[in-house]
Amino acid sequence: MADLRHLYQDTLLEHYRAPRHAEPIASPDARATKNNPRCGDACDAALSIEGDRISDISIVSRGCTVAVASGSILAEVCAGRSIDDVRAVLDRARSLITGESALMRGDAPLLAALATISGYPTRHQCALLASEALTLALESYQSPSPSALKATTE
Amino acid sequence: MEARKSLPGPIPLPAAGGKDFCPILDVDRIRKDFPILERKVHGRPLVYLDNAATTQKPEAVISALSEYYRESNANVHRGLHALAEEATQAYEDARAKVARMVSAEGPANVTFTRNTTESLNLLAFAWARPRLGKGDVILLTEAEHHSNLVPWQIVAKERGATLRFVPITDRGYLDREAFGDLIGPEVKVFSFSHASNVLGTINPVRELIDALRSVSPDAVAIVDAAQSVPHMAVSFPGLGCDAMAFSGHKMYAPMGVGALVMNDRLCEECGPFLGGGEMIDTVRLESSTYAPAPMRFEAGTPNVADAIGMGAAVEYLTSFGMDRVWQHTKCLAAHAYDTLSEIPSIRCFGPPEEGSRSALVTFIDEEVHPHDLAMVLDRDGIAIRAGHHCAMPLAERLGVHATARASFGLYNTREEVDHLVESIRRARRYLGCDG
Repeated sequence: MADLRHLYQDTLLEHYRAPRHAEPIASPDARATKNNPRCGDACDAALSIEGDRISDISIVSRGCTVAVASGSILAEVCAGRSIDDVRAVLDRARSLITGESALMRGDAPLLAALATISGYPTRHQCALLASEALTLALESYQSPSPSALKATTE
Repeated sequence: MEARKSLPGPIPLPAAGGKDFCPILDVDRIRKDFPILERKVHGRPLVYLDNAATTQKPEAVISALSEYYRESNANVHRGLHALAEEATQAYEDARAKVARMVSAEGPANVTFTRNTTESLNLLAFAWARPRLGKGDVILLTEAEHHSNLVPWQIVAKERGATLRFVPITDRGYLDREAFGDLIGPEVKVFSFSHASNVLGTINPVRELIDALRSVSPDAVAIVDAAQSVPHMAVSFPGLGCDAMAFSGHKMYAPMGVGALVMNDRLCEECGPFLGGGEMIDTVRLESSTYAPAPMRFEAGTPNVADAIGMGAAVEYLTSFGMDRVWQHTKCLAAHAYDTLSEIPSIRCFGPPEEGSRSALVTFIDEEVHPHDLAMVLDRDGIAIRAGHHCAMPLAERLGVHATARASFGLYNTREEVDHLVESIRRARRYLGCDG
């Protein structure tokens, strides 16, 4: 099992056991749920937004180690950032998870834990779930519609 | 179904599957027939426990494919040359072998399809769609594979028919009382699995169909036998159904070929599925007449090589005697159920009773997600399935989102089951759970 240590590294396991920002926000400004129909995993992302800043964030995941920990890591990295920053973080997270690009100077240190997942293609979907839910939540906020505050489900 | 000459004479069957396991198949010898079992996965010997998804292929099947392409490849049912004749003969021989295996009325009652899914779709679209309408009921169960749900949903929606579902009990059986309430003269189709691909439950097919026929004599009964035909002696007339579907690739045959067995009534009534060559009698510009079954359902050039491979697989599998095959895989599942249940955090689904469970065990570890479990086991060379097993409504009924499934075949051993359980214990420790 030695080579699995790259995947199940301490950071990932620790975030799985004690996910950050996992308490759902009561009255979010934006919210979206993303399901992975292949395995039944689901991620609910909610944001409180003040001006252009994410003042509060919650990621409630149901899934495997990789899905839950990725959500927790993203929540921690995104909390308190501007919307543009969060977009950039989500883009970076996606390319690190899929292996499109390697870690760069300037990446949030926690994203390193996501970069290791790139070596396990069967787990990319698990790791991408939270970033997809967050992206949907941001979209629902920026293109307000009558149902903008209702959960968007895909 | 003669025993292979090289095998020792029949060994007495064990009384029960649990602890007093005795070898009923010469598994060491069987394993040598499967070249893939020699390979290593992540440096460990392969322990293949995903047989309900697809089985591995014996040398007899691999060489039948290769031999066909090397020696006899030609299009079938046309051409008057030697190769075409050989190919046609081999293709039709394969059909006859499949027919004999399940005691179909005759080879013409066996249609080659791609798989169980295509067989069920054929029935839904070619038989049910033109016949059903408002007020008609299609009866299914909560435990069906998506392939036995989605085609019926499409047909019901289009024709205004109603879907009804037999619920399952908490122990994983079909709810017989509810079944009694759900049947009536309005039920025109009853389609259900012989053995569940998740719960492993073996359904009392004959009894259910007899009960249905007593209130709806002309109802068409369809059996998804994908998880039973590979493991036990299945007699089409014995089941009492009108049609039965199964896949080649789950019974040691190549992927891409399956069978639909129909009785004479359905062979007669069922219209064409796909149109094209092979399935016609006469074609005019404006209209055509169709060939009789099975040709009517086999438009275009069929999957000749894989059908021949399926014939070879039938020959290989039945050479052991299906009763012995069943004893073997059933015992492995019972042993897995017992030993997995010894881990306190593990919950096994489906009936625990001997004789009610087919060759698989689906389970969850309350503390480890099935994906994590499958991945860590993979590093030990063990292949299991994790997910909803193409039965999302059943997962919902069971109150789970994903489960793990170990499923067994001819070549699996009791030691492999023990290895699985030991590896799960190690995975739990590795992922930070106790023991």
